[in-house]
Amino acid sequence: MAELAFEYLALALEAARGTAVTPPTHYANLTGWIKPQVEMYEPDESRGTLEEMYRSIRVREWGIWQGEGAADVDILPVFLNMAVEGNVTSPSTPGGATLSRLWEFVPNITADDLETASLYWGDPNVQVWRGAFGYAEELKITADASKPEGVKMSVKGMTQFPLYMAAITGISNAATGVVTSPGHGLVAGDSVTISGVAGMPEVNGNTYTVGTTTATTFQLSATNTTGFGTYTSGGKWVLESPTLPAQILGQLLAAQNMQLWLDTSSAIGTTEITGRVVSGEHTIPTGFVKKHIAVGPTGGKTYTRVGRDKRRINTVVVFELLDTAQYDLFQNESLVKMRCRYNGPLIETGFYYYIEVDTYGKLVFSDWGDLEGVNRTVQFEVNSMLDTTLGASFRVAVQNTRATL
Amino acid sequence: MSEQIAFTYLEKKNPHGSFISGVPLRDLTAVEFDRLPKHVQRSVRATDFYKEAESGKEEDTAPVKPTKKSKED
Repeated sequence: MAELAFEYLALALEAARGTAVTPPTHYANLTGWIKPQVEMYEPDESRGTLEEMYRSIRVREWGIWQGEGAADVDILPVFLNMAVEGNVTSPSTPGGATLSRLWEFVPNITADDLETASLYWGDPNVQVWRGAFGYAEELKITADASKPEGVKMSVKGMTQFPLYMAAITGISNAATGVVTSPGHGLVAGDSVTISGVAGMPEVNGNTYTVGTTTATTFQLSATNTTGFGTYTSGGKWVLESPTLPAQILGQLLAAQNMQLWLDTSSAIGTTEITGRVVSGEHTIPTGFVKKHIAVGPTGGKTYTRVGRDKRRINTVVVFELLDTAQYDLFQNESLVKMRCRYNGPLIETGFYYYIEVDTYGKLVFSDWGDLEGVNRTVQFEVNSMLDTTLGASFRVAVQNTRATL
Repeated sequence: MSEQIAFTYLEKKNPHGSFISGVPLRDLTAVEFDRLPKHVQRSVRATDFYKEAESGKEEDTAPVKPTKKSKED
């Protein structure tokens, strides 16, 4: 899909899953989108004609979203709250550091704490959509030192059906006007522009801030409609682009600055492998599954709950085959502790911006390859397994200078 | 010719160098602010490193494009 100049992807973590948040608190700093998805029920019928389809009804609706681009040490902790461990809102300060801050994410394997987000996408000069109850299905981090590239990330998932407009079925005459719009999905603080209302023309073409809401109504904040005409029919509201947060130019990480440690009996991060690491890739599934359940005649058709399935991460690394040191770990079925660190610029003496992924498990041979057509390489995968010392099968850390998300 | 400053940039409130796309990190004149798209104006109002100046006040000697950022104590 083309990357257009004025489109943005922004998000805000939801305090309560499924309760939309406005305005967004972070730009995703990725190229991405939200797309509406529907499922139709189209029954087979025998009506004695060549016409295949006579009737259909929409039975489910939701959104899919994705973002990809440079691995950003400033925005990544937001996504790691959605993909690895939730409720991580502050970092630690590494010993000896002044400016550096370490954000650590270790999965909670006994409780479901991953966070959801309200995502915003579109061109504010045309229309912006909001996908609430957005969850991450998969987060991926990749780096290939054999290519002139930086460290990259991608994230994808689902949202409730993208919101941008709905019909109005009533507007009260009151000190604070109340709009009736079943299933509106708005929250306090949203801005909406109303049009097409008959009987109360005073509201048409104006933008209002949403006040208190119920499932079927929302207040027009600070708007006295007592002296307005009497609503008769029609009308719609359209969601306006929210107030957008300030941005930061996050540090970029060069793939060639990556490091890798591989340990068996010693603590992770002890034995650095140098002079042969070519690439690393980490695919982190979340196990999120959306649930469509019966909601009665006034309910919508999007999902209202989610569940979590078991998960493990997949790490793929490529080594140059200078000897069989790493191959022997696979041959001997050794339990390995693998640390991949993707370094960025210096923050202060002894401390760099970085993203770090620890994976515990066994090396599995994946493929032979070559480096520039000259040297043999070997690709291994590690599908993470519980490490009793860590209390999980993997860990992700980010070092930056931010004290808050 | 002087121009009215609509928003003062507070550098001390912006340690990470955050920015709003299309908006320079310095004081903004009323003319500059009015030219911004409405959604960008909302972002300027919402962020804490721009402070809206008192209305109706003109800076007698303020340059059109200030070369020195204003600092708040």
